[in-house]
Amino acid sequence: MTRIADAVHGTVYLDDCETAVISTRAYQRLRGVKQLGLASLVFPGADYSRFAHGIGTFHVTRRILDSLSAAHPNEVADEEKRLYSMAALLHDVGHYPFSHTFERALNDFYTGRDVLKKKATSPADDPTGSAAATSNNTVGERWVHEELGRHLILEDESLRSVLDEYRIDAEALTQVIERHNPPRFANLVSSDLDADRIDYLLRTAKHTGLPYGNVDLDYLLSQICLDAEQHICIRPKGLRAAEHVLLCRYFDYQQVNFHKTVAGLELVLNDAIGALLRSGTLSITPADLQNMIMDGNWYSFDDARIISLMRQSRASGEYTPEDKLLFSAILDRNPPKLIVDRERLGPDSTNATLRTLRHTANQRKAEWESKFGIRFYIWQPSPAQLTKMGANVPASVLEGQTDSESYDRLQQSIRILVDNGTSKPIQECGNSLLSVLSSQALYSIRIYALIPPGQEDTLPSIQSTLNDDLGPSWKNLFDD
Amino acid sequence: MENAQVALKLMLDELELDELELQPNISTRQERKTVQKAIYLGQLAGVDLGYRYNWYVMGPYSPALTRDYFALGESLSSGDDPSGDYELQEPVRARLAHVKPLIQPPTDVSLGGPEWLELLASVHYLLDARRMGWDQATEYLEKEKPHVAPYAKEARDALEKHGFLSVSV
Repeated sequence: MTRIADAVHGTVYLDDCETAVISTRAYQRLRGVKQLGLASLVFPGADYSRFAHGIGTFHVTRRILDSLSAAHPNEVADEEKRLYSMAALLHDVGHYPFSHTFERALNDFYTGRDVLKKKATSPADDPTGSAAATSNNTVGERWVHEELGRHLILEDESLRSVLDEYRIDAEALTQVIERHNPPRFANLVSSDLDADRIDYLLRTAKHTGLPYGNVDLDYLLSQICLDAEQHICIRPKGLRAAEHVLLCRYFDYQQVNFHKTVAGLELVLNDAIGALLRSGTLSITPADLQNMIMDGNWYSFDDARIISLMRQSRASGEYTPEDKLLFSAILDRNPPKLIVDRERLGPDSTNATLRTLRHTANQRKAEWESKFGIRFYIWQPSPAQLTKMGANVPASVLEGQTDSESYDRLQQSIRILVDNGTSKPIQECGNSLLSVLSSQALYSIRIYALIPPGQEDTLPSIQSTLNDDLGPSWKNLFDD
Repeated sequence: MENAQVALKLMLDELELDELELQPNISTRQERKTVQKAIYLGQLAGVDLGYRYNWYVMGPYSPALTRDYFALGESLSSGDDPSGDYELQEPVRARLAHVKPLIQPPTDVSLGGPEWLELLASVHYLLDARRMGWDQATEYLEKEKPHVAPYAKEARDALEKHGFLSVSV
């Protein structure tokens, strides 16, 4: 038995198998992958690793399962506990350096290179693509982090040998993590109240010093149970604590992930990684990843490796000044300047108000870049809703619908036990704040300018130009 | 607009889906189902857009795809369509050509287009990603998708005929 002193959960205990798993190179690599990407450039303490988060998620998962076992003796098999706990421990093992930003850049690059081509404007200008089909005859093939995790679990020699030694079914594990075979407790793995989210919120609160993620885990666990259909749900007494989780997530995202400087830096990082991919400094095809796993280079492929590549690239003669500016923005902490920032909480109709602004910005972006010789970014996140329900789909679109999306989104919502032993989504509880707020979302748009050092005096001119081009009304947008 | 959304728009255009009108927004249930299943088949044909599918309670579904096609719809609603500057590369179009014969249901299958695509994607997913045997898959479909299960064999035959499944499991 191993004891780990964790900043969030106190003492976390791991048995011999779990200890052996985290001791593998594949897992130790996660010490070098930050959970919050570049957020530590704004919140100095926000540099905790996916290694710590993985152990924390494991711990929360086990506490949830123990609470369910206590509430429903003999209904949660030991083998289930083992499988879900191990899935929680390994759920992030396949994350790239800088995680989601890296993956976005990867997707953008391989789609652009292998799937699309610019239309030829003349017979002489006929750009042919470089569609690099893999040996499986797939163009644009890339591995998202869950797939990479599956390959590591199944093919990394040391990780696989540990799982085999302790008789953990590696295939079943990947099925739980990837949700190919939805587990009995599907919403333990992915939902508004999943262990991943709970640890993330608590850990981010601890390390940023911000209070927004401080969920009441102990009370939630005391109220967790199974309904008659085996859904994980919360007893009515726990309604406020459950609402609080959703509000915590909303405020945490707005204050940390969507902080104006963090968001701006992540936009630049996306382009910086794109530059490394375009130049061939980085090549991340499935074949490359297979080789990296086999020859061991995967285990040093972490955030520091990307930073190191940026430093080398900035110093080399192979990159354009524009690309080097991207690297410098990250390496020297020179974030893009926020020029326009509008947001409003409301129903879907709020989005219509933003459309004109968005359209104008998209139309004018190339002109601004040409006029000032600098890069502009238009940040347009998906609408921020309180529940996972509708996180991607407008709430009004889902109203009254019973198709896959709405049904599955309802399944993933926090569920509250009702009198007849079944449960219902929290947003359907008439005494819940979510019954009012779930149809609302925060709609946002920002425009940033990446101004090179020494040219800060262009900022007033940039602001003036955007004011004029966007029309005098943009500043009053949403004003009552 | 990100490359993913441009590629998504062009791929859906290439597949010539009758039920789909991508202007001004993609809001009907049938359209969303069509998009999800058509892209599943397009990726199966060998064009990877990076969307990964899980079996949610009612079928193979990609949350990232949902996000992108709503963002695409939003862009189109705003009057922005940068996909006009791009086209699909020839090897991509060649692969999508293998999907086109699958789009319309056979004459002896009394399903609408979206339901036929739903069945094709579901049969393939259950046999491939979830590695079910045929009997287990049909039993599962009868329980979870009774509205399309009667035509499971026709769907399997179509997938085999066009090379999306190995012949008879």
